[in-house]
Amino acid sequence: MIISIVSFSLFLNNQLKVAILKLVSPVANKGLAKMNEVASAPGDGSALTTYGYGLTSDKGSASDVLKTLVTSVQASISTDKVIATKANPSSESTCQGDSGGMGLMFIYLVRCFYFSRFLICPLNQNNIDVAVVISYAAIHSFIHPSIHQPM
Amino acid sequence: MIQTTTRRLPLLFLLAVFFSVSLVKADDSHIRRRATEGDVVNDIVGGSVQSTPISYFAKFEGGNGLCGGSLIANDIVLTAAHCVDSKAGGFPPQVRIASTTESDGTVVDVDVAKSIFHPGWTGNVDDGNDGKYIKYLSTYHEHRYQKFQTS
Repeated sequence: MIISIVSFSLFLNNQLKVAILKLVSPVANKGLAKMNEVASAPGDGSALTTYGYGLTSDKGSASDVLKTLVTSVQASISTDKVIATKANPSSESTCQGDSGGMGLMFIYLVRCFYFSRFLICPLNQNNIDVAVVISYAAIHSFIHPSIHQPM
Repeated sequence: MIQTTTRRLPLLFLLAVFFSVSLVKADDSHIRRRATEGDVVNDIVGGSVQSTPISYFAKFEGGNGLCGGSLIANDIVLTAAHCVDSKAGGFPPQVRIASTTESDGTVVDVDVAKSIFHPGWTGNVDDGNDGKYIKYLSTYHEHRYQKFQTS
C-alpha cells in the first residue's frame, strides 16, 4: 500500500524531524504503510492528501472519525526544504492533532490566530500548511537500524 | 477650535461605530463560518470522512496533544518528532491503530516501549527553515520567501 507521505530524494535535509515508536508487542493482521518514493519535487498544484483525527475547527474539538483532505502544493512559496500546501476551498485546512499522520509528517500549521478578539489571517491565506519534506533514503536508513535495535 | 471639535464629534462617533461594526462583523462571520463547518463535517477543517479503512493509521495522545502516525512495521509507528519529544511529554504510553473511527471494531491499542528520534532531530521545531517561515508569513510574499531561503 502506498501512503502519501511526501518523500523524495531531491530534498535532503539534515533536520529530519521524525521519530519512531517501538511498540511492546506487534500488531497482527494490519496492513503496513509504505512511503511513496518519487524522484522529483511535486509541481505547483500537485495533490498532497492528508489524513487525521485532528481538530475540526479552530479551537474546536478533535474528530472521532478519520478525515481526509486533499491539499495542493503552492510552488511559489515552497522552497528546497519545505513545501507549502493549501486546500481549496480556502475554508478547509488541516488542524492541530493532524501532525505526524500521513501526508503531514512535519506539518506546522500556519493559520489564523486570535489577537484579542480579532481573528488575524496572514495575507488572507488562512489555510496554508507547511510540510517539511523528507528524504526517503534518509528515513529508510534511520528506520531500519532502529527496527533491529534490541529492546 | 473647541467649536470645530465639537461639531466634528458626531462625525467621529459615527466613523468609530462604523469601523467597530465592520470589524466585529468580519470577525464574527469568519468564526461563524469555521464553527459551522466544524459542526457539520466534523473533521480536519473541511475535507471529508475517510470511508475506506486505512489499517495502518495510528493515533495517540501525547503531552502535547493529539498526533497521528503510520504503522510501518508490526511493532513500529512512524510519526513526527515534535509529537513525542520531551517537550511533548515524551512518548505516549499507548498508540491506537484506528482505521476509520474510534470504535469500529478494528481498533487496537498497543503499549509503547520507547521512542527513537532521528539523529537530525534537535528537539526544537523552530530550529530550521520551517519555523522561520511561519514567523515571516505575515509579511509579503517576496520578503518571506527571501527570509525563508536565507534562514
